[in-house]
Amino acid sequence: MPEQNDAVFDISPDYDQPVFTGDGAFERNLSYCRRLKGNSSDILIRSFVLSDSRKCFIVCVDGMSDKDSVERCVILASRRFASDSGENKFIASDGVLQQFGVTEISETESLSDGYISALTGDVLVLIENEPKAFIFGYRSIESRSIGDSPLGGSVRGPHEAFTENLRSNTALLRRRISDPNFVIEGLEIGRRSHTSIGLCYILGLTNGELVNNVKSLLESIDIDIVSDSGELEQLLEPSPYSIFPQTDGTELPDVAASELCAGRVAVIVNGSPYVLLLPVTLSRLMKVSEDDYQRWSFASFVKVLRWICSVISVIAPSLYVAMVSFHPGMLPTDLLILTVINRLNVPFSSFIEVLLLELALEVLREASIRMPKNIGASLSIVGGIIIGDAAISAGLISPLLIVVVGVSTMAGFVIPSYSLASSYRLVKYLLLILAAAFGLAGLICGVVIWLSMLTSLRAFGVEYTAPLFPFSKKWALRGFIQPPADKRASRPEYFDPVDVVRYRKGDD
Amino acid sequence: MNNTREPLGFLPVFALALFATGMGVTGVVGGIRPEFIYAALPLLLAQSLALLLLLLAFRRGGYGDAFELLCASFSRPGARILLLLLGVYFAFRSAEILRSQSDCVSFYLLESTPPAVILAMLLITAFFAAFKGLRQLSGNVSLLLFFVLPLFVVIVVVALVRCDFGELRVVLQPSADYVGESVPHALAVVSGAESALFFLGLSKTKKDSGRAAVFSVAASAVLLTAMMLASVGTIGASGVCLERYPFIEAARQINIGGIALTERFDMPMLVVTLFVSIGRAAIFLFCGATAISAAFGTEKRSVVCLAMVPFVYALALAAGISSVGRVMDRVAYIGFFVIILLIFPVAAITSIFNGKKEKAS
Repeated sequence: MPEQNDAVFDISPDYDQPVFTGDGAFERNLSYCRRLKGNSSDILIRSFVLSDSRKCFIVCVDGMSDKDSVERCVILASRRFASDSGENKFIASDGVLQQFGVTEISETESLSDGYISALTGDVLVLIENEPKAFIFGYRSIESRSIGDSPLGGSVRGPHEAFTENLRSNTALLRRRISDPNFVIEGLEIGRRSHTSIGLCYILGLTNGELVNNVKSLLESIDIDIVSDSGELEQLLEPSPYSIFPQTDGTELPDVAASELCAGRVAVIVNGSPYVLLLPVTLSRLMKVSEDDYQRWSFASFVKVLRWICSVISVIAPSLYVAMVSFHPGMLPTDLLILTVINRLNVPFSSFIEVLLLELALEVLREASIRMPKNIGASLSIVGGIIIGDAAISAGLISPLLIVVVGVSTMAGFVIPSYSLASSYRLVKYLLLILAAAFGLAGLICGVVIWLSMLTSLRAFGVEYTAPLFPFSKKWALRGFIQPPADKRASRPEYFDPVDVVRYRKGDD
Repeated sequence: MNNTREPLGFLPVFALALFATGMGVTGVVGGIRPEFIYAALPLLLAQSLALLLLLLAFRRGGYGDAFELLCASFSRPGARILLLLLGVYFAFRSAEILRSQSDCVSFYLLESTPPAVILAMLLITAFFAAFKGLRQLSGNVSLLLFFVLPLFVVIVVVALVRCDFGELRVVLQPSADYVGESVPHALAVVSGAESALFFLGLSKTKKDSGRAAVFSVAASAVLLTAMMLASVGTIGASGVCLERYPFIEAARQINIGGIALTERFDMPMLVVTLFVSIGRAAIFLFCGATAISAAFGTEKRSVVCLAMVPFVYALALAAGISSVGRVMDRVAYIGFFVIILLIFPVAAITSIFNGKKEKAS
């Protein structure tokens, strides 16, 4: 038995233990696997004797491999194979494939690699006097069924979302893009987790340089465990200290498929329902799938509204502080009187007042995420109505501020990307501090700093602020206005796709 | 100079040149008369011609940046000394803009805040906008342009529509003496195209940069003229002469019926001048840092830019002392004329000469 502190497996990428051959090889292979198994109760090692008297053992993980298939196909079929063949030979995988009825089978000369495959759900099969190990694809991991996205779907459009299962997710994409050029390249990241990654792109459409960049970046990641795509996202970001998200993501397969067709690359991480989309631009983060499904007129209206809301969500509280604290003379007289009446009994400065309310909202938001679902709704009522009302009655905050902060918070929810909305929340505090210190001048300086943060970002060769900077006449307008479907004939040029044409009008 | 060699399209070049010339709004400080535009417009025209010369120099010589151009036009040590002087000149200009704007902010928005604090805030913002290089800087001014230009155009158009055209007759009767006197102030307001030395060579195509350079100066000229006319028409020629910040005071008088979002329409005007001033100071800061780093042959432009911040701050504070202010003004005039009357023409002639020599060989 290994000591508790001793590692039984060398996780360095160079480590390789070939399948033992020669005298006593089977026992050595078996003892190697048993040593690795150690005290783990979920790893199953079953050894048995084939009818030709050769010994055989399998390694699989309880709960990750399909037990029925393992028992029915591996054990029974292997016995049948030996008796049916009449030969005491077990030669090639083709023979195994025929006899075992396995659709996914591979051979390996590396025992360590075979063992890792078994830990990811496959079944490792080792037979006496065979120089190779066989890996049967019998993965069967329980996972959530396909349903609506918890992040919110769309009124018009498909209602299915990605799950935590890589293969379900790739199938959802493949169902939408049945193009032979659509590639889902398999990669593995994580010295310990061996997390499967699907790198998706369309040959002849996606820029090859972009694909190579993403692939080499993924391959260069040397980390022990990747738990979620969020972790991978941060490792892929070229400017890790920036507060803005540098990858986009979605839980909706229709969005992922549409973005792949726009010339972007998707990265699916096994165990995460959130698929990463690269590269990203600010205008892409402000886009929702419904823009394409709705009539152009309403979609354009909503698009413009979304941009206005994103600005309101960041600026409104700081503008309130700047105006009330520094420049009340700039407010129209009626509004000024209203503000003064509202703030008459408030004991705090407008900055403290805004800060308190904003922080209370942050607490409420964070608590409602962590709370069990059935308490969450009650908490919203308690926090939003009861505490808010009590705070106004007690004269701690002014009703006008409730309107300002409420509008700003609601406007923040209009931003489609959760990561971008979170970043904007931070920008809001920066502007708030500057406005509290320097009024309107501070707010303007804050806006310049905000813009500077945006323009300094560039990921995978694409400017974050494209198509406004670098400016593209056609695409800049499309960031705000949705053209009719037959006018959306080309793909975004800032992604530099190989195939630019998206839509062709048929000849009459 | 991490990313300063990336080509720029029409919009970034246009935005940089427009912000560099202040859009005709920054730095207009009291005591001016309507004849001011007769001094400012020839200066803008001169800058436009100088830009065309510079463009010719860059295109004929195929130079990528100011250092290459100056090395070809002067000797290598000469180019280094020139660049160092240019660095100091742009530091002075940046300080001058920031000082002027901090006075304006102090006057209208933050009466009780010490100007030194406002100055520090503006300088830090300008540094933030410039330190990562030309790509970021051009991106900032391009994005700001989308916001500032429409807002300014609305102010100007509303002001022109609402103004008293009878007052404008004064503008058509300029006093020749006063035009001459206005030149120094006009220089501070509209000069800045000389900063193109550090970005015009990077424009994507000859057509793009040519158009951008001419249009930007023309836009500044149009905006300045329109704002001056609107101001004279709104607060009268005497008002323009008496008010400390005539353009902002003119904007204060404007009101669009039914859209009284602010009691005073000077708030949008203050927003415009603040954005333009910060952008302009950032451009000069970038030019100064690029010139000094090229003079010393270092690639660490961001570090030089950071090192310039206390220097510019000290200069801007010193500008408050009248004698220092006068020296700074002189440096600005001399620098401007040296650049557009000496450096640009010499560079253009040298590149034409070199081009002919290459053809002959």
